[in-house]
Amino acid sequence: MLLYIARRFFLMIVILFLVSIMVFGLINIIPGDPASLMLGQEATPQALASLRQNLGLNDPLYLQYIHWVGGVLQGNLGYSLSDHTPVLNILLSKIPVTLELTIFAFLLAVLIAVPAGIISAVHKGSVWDYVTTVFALSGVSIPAFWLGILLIYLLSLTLGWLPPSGYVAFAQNPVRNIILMIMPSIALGIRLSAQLTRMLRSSLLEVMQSDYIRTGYAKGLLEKAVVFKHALRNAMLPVLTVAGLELSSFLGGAVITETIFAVPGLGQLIVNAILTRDFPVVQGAILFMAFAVVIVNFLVDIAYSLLDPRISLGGASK
Amino acid sequence: MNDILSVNHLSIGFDHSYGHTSVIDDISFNIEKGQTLCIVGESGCGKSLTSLAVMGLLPSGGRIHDGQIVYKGQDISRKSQKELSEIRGKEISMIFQEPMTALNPLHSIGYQVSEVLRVHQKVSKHEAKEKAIEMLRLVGIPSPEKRFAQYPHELSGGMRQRVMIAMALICHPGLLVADEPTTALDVTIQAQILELIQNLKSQFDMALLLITHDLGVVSETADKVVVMYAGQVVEYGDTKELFTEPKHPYTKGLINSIPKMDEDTEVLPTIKGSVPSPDEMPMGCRFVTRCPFAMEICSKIKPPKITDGHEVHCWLYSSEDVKGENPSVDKV
Repeated sequence: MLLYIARRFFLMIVILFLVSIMVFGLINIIPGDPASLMLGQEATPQALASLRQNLGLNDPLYLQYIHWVGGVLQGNLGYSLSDHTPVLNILLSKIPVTLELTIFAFLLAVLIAVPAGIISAVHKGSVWDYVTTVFALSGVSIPAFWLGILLIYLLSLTLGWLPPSGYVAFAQNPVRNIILMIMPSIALGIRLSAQLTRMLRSSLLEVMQSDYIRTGYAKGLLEKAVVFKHALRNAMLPVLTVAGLELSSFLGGAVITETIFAVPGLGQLIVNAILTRDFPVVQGAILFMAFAVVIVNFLVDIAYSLLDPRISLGGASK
Repeated sequence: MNDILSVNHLSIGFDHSYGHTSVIDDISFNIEKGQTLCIVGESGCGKSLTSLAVMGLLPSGGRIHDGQIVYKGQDISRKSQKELSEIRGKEISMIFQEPMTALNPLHSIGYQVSEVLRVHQKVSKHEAKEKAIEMLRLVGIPSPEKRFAQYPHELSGGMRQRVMIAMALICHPGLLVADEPTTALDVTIQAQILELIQNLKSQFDMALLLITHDLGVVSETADKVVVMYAGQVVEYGDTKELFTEPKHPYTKGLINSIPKMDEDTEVLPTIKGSVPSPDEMPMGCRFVTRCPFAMEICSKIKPPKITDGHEVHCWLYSSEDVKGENPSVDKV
């Protein structure tokens, strides 16, 4: 088990190294000179040359990379081109917002999907099965922006239960923060919950046909015990994969949801940075997203090995 | 009556959106305490379905339409799943054909074996573990303390089948249902597993319902034999009598197709054709399309049950005046 984790951890470092090369390369591949971008069209050649010197743009690429990685490892992700604040500070102000939205949406998705998936699989063909199937199909079919607009129309404009949009930091006003987060979380979570419900239903239906499920009944277990002690754990394996992938995409920021509800998260940050050609910010944000994906994958791998004893032993070293 | 299990006029069918298919048709047999009864027949003749019906584990869509399954005096064929769960694993246990897939890959051997005890008896965790290890030792698993914490994928097929047996017998059931328990195993292991089942059967004084298509196994283990064909019983009786004096052409065909060591034959006798599917059953005797002695009446009217000696379902032995020629059956 420890060996397995150590191996996954080593792999994670390798992946992060490759990602850092790609993110660094990104700036160099894109046409245009960062110095002239920073100084604008009317910069004098002297000013450009001295800025290039200062930024180390005249060094060979590998030296530039080493300087950049060295900076990243010390927490220096460069400075925003638009307002010259450190990129790290900008990221640190956006990450908690995205993280909060992710956690709420993910919790909501799991809390809906697990019971709904179990009920519809165990009572296949029942009214509940049809209800969850309709829910799941609509959930994956409705575009995020449309769902967001519907929610605002229903919950704010018609019923007046929730404020339509906006954001207040948790530290500033926890109650207001949570109230404002409800709708974006629903908009983001419903889609995932629909996906997970479908996944869990089909996975559970397949597992329920297994020989070992019949063995469970032959032992004298009741359906409840068979489902919860034998079927569910087996059925969770493919669901975990999808959940992990979606979780890491959430961490990259949900652009549409954030825009509709005016939540200042990573998604908005990246879109704005791209539109204003603020490359250091784009670079930093992508680095963070890659980091998040790798970490989530690492956690999913560990969860896999905890769920399935065959996995930790399945590697090359026994 | 000393019967531990008696199956009376059992009929099983599957319901579809377009109607109903009868698969098991009016079968009866009984097993006495401590006896072994074998059900033999080709693939698709309803052996496994019969054994699953005894467990109350018919696949979805399957339903008992008629008849009774009486275990220790009570009809279990109409019991609810909850009532059945108190019988399964405790009074009647089952081992399956595929030991590779019959164990849950995500739980340890120890968990799966002791789970049966925890469900049926009020035992402490510690006590359950001790009993499970004891049971694993009894079924011939070396160093059971170590195996207790291992997972199914760490065990061979033969070892997994031993675990299944341990699981089935840990509550000392009165009846063990074994559905082709050796079919999926290596030939070298098959004999060991059969011997183990036989030994434990006498040690625990339980009855055994063994499903097999191996007549060699039948002749060695069974007290009584049910020969099934296409969902019906064609012949039923004591093993010795049935083997020395087979009556039904199907039984004779089965016995003839066993390779004989003392004969120098190049080609083994076979039974022509294959079992008809449930949707296209012949009207009269279901074996009529493959029977070398088929008469006119055979394709029209279901053969009667004849109990002169052991039970056989065949027009050849009817005392009624059946139309058409009646060839000598001794020549089969």
